[in-house]
Amino acid sequence: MPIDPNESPSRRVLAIVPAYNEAGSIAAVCRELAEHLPHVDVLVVDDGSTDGTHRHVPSTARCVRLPFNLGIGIAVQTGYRYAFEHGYDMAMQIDADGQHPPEHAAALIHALAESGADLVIGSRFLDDTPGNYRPPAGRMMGIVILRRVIRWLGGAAVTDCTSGFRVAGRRAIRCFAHWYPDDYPEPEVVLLLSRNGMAVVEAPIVMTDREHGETSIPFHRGVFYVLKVSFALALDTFRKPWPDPLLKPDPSPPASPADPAASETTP
Amino acid sequence: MTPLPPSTLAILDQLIHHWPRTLILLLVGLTLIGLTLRSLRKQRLNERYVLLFVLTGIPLIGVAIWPDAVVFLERVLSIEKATMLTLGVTVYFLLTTFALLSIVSVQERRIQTLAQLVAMMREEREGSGDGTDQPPAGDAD
Repeated sequence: MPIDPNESPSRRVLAIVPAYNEAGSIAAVCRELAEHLPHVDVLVVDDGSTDGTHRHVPSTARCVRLPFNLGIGIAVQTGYRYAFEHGYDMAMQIDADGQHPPEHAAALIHALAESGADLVIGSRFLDDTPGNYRPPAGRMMGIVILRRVIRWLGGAAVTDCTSGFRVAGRRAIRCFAHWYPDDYPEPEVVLLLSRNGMAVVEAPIVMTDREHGETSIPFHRGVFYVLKVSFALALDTFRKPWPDPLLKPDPSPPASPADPAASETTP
Repeated sequence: MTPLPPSTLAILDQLIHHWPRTLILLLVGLTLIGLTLRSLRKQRLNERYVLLFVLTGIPLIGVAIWPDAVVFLERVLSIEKATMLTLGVTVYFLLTTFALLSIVSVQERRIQTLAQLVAMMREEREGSGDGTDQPPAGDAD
């Protein structure tokens, strides 16, 4: 079935593109997003790049420039804050390195609208298309371990917990604007949303290998990464990141997340 | 059998016979507390940090007045002096580190939030991307 989210532009969708030193690919990613999803607003969050990434952002996209590098979690949260403050219905995360083909973004948006879930994760393991990117064996093993840890700790059964290609609904946007994990956000978000009663589902996507830039997690650190993430996930079971009013299906937010005092959450 | 605390006379006797040690410890303790309170008055140190240093200075003054307090505690707790001192110093540094890391964590969150707000306000002021797909000559961030 052909999927065209632009047939119903009543839903306001923001594409969040966190970028750190992605001058080589950011323009192409923005242009492809504009081409495939003309009714989706694009927000590039330049996480303190030193290669002039913001200068490569085309005029079709907006660019929020963080004053210094704050890490992927905070960069993504900046996008969610923006989405919350500007009243978007959905917010889509997409990597700036060209690994997430924008033509598949429509499938995620459609899946969120159809399922009514709070978060839809694009999983490269649910699509058997030849040529779909598969991580190396070592990293694959790490992903398998992490998905089991998440499941064991009470999280959703997802196949691609490290995928950064995902779409969030209004409730998730509201929560993320209030607090977002900044250490290992992708797997932590899956666990925290599930443990707080929100629905996380997956949709098949195709990923490509990175076009430009450097991977944020080098292969040789894989084992240590899995240990650190597992520990962080275990600690997450003690967290209460979002106050109850934010978790209700359709509440009015108690305080603006733009208020620094309101944004602090004591674990 | 529980050891009895020494009498006032015994403590005075020790103060007189070991006055250089008493003087040094008193000076260090009082200087620490004095500097801390002075910094507080001049708003160079927040109250939450002052507590850490005052709690460090008070035991020093206590030991200056009653040097054998450590020996007394050794007998009461049945822990060797060296072990007790090591434990005490370790616990003190752990608590201090914990307090400071808690403060740093809160400040880190605040700085992150502030940076996000600054970035979003700058975006609103300057508008969207500059419309050039190619960097200008001499691009350097």
